[in-house]
Amino acid sequence: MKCALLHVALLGFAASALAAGTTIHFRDATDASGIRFVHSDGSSGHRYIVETVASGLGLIDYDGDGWPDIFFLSGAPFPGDPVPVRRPSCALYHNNRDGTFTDVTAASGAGLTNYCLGCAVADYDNDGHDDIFVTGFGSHHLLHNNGDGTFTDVTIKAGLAHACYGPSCVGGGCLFLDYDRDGFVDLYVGNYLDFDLAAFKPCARMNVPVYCNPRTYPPVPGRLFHNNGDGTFTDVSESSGIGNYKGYAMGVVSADFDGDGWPDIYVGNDVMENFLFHNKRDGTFEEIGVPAGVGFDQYGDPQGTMGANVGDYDGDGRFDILVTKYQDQVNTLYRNLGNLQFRDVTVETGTGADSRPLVTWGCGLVDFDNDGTREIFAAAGHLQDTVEQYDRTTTYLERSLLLQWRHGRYENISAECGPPLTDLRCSRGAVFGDLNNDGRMDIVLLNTRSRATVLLNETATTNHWISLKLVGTKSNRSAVGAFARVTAGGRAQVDEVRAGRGYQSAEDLRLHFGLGTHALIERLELRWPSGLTNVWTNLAADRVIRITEGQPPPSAR
Amino acid sequence: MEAVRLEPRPQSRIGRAARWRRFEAVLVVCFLASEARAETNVFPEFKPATARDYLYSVAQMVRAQAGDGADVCLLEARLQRQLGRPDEAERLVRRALKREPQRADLQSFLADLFIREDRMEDALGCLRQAVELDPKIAGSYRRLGMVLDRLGQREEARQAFATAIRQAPDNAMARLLLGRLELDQGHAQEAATQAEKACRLDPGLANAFYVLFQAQTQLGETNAAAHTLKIFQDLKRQERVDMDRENAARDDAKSTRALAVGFHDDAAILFAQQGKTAFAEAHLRQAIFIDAQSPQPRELLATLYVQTGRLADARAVFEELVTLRPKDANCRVNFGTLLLQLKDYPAAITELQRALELDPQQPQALNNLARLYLGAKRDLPEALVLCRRLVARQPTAANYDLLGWALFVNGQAAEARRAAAEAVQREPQNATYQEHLRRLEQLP
Repeated sequence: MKCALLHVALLGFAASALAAGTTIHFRDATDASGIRFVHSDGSSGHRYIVETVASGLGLIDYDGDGWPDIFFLSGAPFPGDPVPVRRPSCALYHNNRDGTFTDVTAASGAGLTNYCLGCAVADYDNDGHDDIFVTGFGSHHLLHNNGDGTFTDVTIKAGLAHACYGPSCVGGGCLFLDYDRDGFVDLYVGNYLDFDLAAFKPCARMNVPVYCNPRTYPPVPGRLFHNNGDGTFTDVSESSGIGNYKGYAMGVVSADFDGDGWPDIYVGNDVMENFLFHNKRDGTFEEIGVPAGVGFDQYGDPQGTMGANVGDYDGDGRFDILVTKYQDQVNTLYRNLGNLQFRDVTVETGTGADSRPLVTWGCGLVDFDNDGTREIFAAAGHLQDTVEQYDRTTTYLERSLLLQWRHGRYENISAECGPPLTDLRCSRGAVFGDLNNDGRMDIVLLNTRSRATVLLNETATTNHWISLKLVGTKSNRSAVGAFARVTAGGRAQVDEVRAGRGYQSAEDLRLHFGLGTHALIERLELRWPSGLTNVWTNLAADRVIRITEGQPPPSAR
Repeated sequence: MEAVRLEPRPQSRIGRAARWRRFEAVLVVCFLASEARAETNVFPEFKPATARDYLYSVAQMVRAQAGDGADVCLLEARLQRQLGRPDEAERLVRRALKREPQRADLQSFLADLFIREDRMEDALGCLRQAVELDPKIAGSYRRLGMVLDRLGQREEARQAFATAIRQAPDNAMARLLLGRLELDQGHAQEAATQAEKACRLDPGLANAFYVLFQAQTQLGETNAAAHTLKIFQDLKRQERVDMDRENAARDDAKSTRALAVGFHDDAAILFAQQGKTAFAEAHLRQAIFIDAQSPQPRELLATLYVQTGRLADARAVFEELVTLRPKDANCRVNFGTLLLQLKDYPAAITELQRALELDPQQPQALNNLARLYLGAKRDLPEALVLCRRLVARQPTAANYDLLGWALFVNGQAAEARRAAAEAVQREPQNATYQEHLRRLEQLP
């Protein structure tokens, strides 16, 4: 009981210390943005399982101008299927800083035409330019940012040619992390399953064609690649222990869950228990998902996990885990109790609200109204395009969920936010970032087989905020794994820089904190992966602060 | 017209066993059906590709023949739910409730529909009514607790689980859920107590071991937690193997046939309850036609025939059943018991012996075969062996009494007295056992 009371007390404090939540409002800015990207899952009626899981997307400030650009992933025609005149490809859109974006795919060389599923963004070679790693069906790719607006596929040169082990490899989520804190980001690649096209057999449900259950296909292990610091990677899957665990990896996310300064990895698996790889600080990882309480749901059942993300929802300074899932399950929130112990708090927090009939994917714990508490967003859309023919409890196109902390628990506020949140889509990846640098977190959705959606946050609020752009020097340049504690109005909030999260996607690498009514940051503490710790006091809010490791502090006010 | 009782389709091994127990209990012929056998249905052609249309047509036929009562609505609602049309199912159950508003099972069914659609407030309303209408309806308090828990009404949820456990102390699931709730509330000791009981009651219930593991972890019982975790993981591994096997064997046409067979079985049960045995028989025959390999309609048909005195027909169905399921000991026991009814003792002995080869401890087979030997005064030493095995398996008063008889006819009077005394000790009010003991005690 003591534990539960403390939990309520913490959240009660959070609510009272900061401004009351405001009605959150998004505007569908897709048309105005000039983004015309249309996703393809490559489907041509066969119903290959790969189609159901495509694709994620990424926010990347590829030109370093401080304005997030958008990288969309796309599927592609399968071998033997007709190739459309306009071949589907990944797409890069440049942020013009005026609410519009320009398609720079062709000029950038980022328009991969293989089957792309997930991505992660970070500066792997510390040259000052963020690069992109892409998982796919049959091959994975590393795109090196040349710093001049172009990318070069360096997969082979980087030693990642076999990151996807063969033509039947279906990639999942991926992320960069500096697991050995040597100043270069390493790469974790989740793989979904082994899908041999030649052996494909169609599935049906009462004579209605459906996509087969993932368990029809063998699970596969994830891979960990160590960054050698010279532009190449070494496969350390076996020596690290990561390669010993076969799963159906979907969303993956890294965080320092035990606060020991070393990043751990959480892997959301479809149709089986999720993994938590605890970093043993010696180049090895120990899988502790079930004993830690994050392998299964609260009853000990596996979920069909799709997306996985991290955030400190209750303000206790520890990173909690949010996962999305398949139909007839609920979105799940695991509260970090410390000492690598978690508790499924889905029921008591209301996190699962209205999610049972849906299939949910990209997700995040994001403060959309800058009141200092994080909302929950979950993108939705069924994976069976024929579902309505055999199950009228759900639909192929679905409404995404936005939950806000009210009256001591999360409540679904999508309906009161109205369109575009209530619009029906079939989404997969969802990323969160401040696209227009107005201090409010926006959303970009990748919708399967259709056009992407840009949701601009136009919440009318006077709440304050701060955004931190961290640049490593001794640490990896993208500062992946850097930890920030922001204190305003006597209340501290924490976050870390993460490169790869949610549903196979990459979010804004900047850290965003809502500060409620407090325009002054009393204290900002930064812990860099190198071990360096900085503390600054009395910083003005409502701005993006660029902080370089080892440099003098930003101006006080 | 008197009703024939067929049990609903079994959902588990337990359900099946219960049905066969009932079958054994009604070996005495109930009555002969008054309906003409010709009064049967002509079903449309069944094809897996058009199974939905077929089932809708059959449902209409059932309504026309069985009326539009609550049970018919419920039968159709179950079908609609299986076909993924919960809105139709809801409409039908609401119609059923208009006809019989006091039916707790209808409220309970409606609640299940709402739970699946995440309509927890609606489900709560139904379950509250269900427990008010019939506080003893199976599972209602447990599900009421689950819904209350999901709605965050945890104290009420705890009370509902506690009531479920009071009603059925052996309900492992209710204990598991209460344990989970206690754990969430920070009551690790109480959680461990409930989960431990759930594990004992159902050692195959992996979720109970998970809750116990988490409770033990919170209590700092490291070694016990590690042990529990291992059991949980082993059970989960097995679950996964089973799931994969099931997935590999999945066949849409087969599943569709199974669904149609299930509907015909349910319709047969409904008609049997209405006393319309000819319709029941027609549905079961059609179910067998749709899936010749399915044992369930044959089991029901055999029961129907036995209950309506058509023992020769029942025999023919059993012969098919044992061919379909040669390794099913229970099936052979029931067949053997029917053969006893038909006084075909050699065939009965053969079937009962086969049942014992498959399951040497099968109590009905031990009992029937022993009684047959004792009654016929043949193979008496073998009868004694069977009785000893029976008592070891089921040490009931009746079995001790039977053992006393076997011992006596084998010349072991002293032991026979002890066995008879044991029977009386277990059921002191039973006059028959007292009389057997008295007679044995009068022996020199």
